[in-house]
Amino acid sequence: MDREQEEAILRITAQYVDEVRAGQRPKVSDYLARYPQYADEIADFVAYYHTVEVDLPGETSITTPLAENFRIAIGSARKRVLQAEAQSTHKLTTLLVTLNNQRLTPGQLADKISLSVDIVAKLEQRKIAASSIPKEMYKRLAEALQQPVRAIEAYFEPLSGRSSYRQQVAETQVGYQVNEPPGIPTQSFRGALEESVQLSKEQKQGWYDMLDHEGL
Amino acid sequence: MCLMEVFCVVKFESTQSKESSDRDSEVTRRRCVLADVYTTLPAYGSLAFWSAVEEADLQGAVPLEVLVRCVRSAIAQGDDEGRNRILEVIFQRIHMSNEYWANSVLKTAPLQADERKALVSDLYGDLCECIIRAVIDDKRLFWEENFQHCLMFERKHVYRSFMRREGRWNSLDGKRSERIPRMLVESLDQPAQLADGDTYELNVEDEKAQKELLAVEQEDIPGLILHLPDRLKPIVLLIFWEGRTEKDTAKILGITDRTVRNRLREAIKLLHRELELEREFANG
Repeated sequence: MDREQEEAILRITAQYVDEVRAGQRPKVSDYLARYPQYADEIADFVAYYHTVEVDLPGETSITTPLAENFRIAIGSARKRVLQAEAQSTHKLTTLLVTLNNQRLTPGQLADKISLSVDIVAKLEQRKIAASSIPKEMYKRLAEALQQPVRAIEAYFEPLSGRSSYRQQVAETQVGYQVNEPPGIPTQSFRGALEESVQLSKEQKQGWYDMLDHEGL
Repeated sequence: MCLMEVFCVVKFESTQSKESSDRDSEVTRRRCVLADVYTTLPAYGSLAFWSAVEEADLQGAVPLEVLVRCVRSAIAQGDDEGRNRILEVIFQRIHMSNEYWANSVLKTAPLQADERKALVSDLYGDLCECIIRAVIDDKRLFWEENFQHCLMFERKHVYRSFMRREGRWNSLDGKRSERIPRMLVESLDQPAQLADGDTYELNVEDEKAQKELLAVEQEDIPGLILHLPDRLKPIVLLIFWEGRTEKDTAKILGITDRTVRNRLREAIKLLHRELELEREFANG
């Protein structure tokens, strides 16, 4: 079930619950007839609601501190979610691997972020100094690769200055494909733009304006 | 489209009935109220902001839906500490409900006290994890509109996954299942030899037994249905909960009478099997 369907079912069943709470006696058959495509989900919810939820208390004021076991349960839950979040960034070992996961070619990525393939290749090889890359570039990459902006920024950080976020990525790079010897000569983003033979003049000008705007 | 834009979209189609347009008005009004509360909050991170967010009295408290937006705003600003602080408030406000839920779903399970306590904590922890995932996911917009309903849905998912994982899906509610009318179960359990030789299909004609079920056990029917496969639920719900005929049921669901009969028979067989397992359990 996709997110849109899930939202639709939430809305439909929320109406049912509102009617029950308003003292009406909504007919399940009306709902099933109106939304036959969601009949199973609606029936499942109605059965669950009347079995488990109907008499549960609602929201309460913040009064006493939570019991220890519940506090621990919340803490562990938070830890699990954050760990999973961090692990998801491990996938960003290289741009190309991430592109493969997104079923994008380097050319398609270049189009999406208004760059050329030659500059995308330099980005992939981390030949461009992170400090010279405009923020807008990170945003576009994050959007195109469906990754958090932080993960993209971490990818370009130099080894010596990597945050713990980046270190986690580096530590798990068993199959890393790009050799990155210390002190690898890097180019500025502006330099890469100037050198590019594939980027149009208009595109270059757009990026120059952005670099000027960000003081780079 | 951002939620602010969604809040302000009002759709009134000429073909809508008065009832549904009333419903739309109510939903729109609610969205606007929530949007107003969010926009009038003090600046994020200020003392006044935290004072509003952590208001202990429910009367003056910021709605949970607005707190969800605040969590998402904290994430957008990279403020992990702020995110955790708001999540803490959310968990405190829904704690009693969640604790009650965790205890009530396990109340009929035959457990020792310490095992029960451990399972309640596990169930509660699983739920918290799902809530955090949902709240931090800014694509799940309905959490910003109707928190309690989303919470209910999340609890449903957690309940089901937990029961499956623990292998308890079919071992609960023994007492309730004892109340399935024997006459109905037995009549359905006999394979019928139809004119066309089909022995997998039974015509549920024991209307007396069905009426008995509807009259005596209606409030328990959802509980009976809960553990059935999803595709069987609408049929059992319509026939036993609403007292619909097989023909009506077929028409409502857009399926054939034969499918209704087959599914009904399957459902009753499953309930019967559950009953047998519970009998064995009760007899040691």
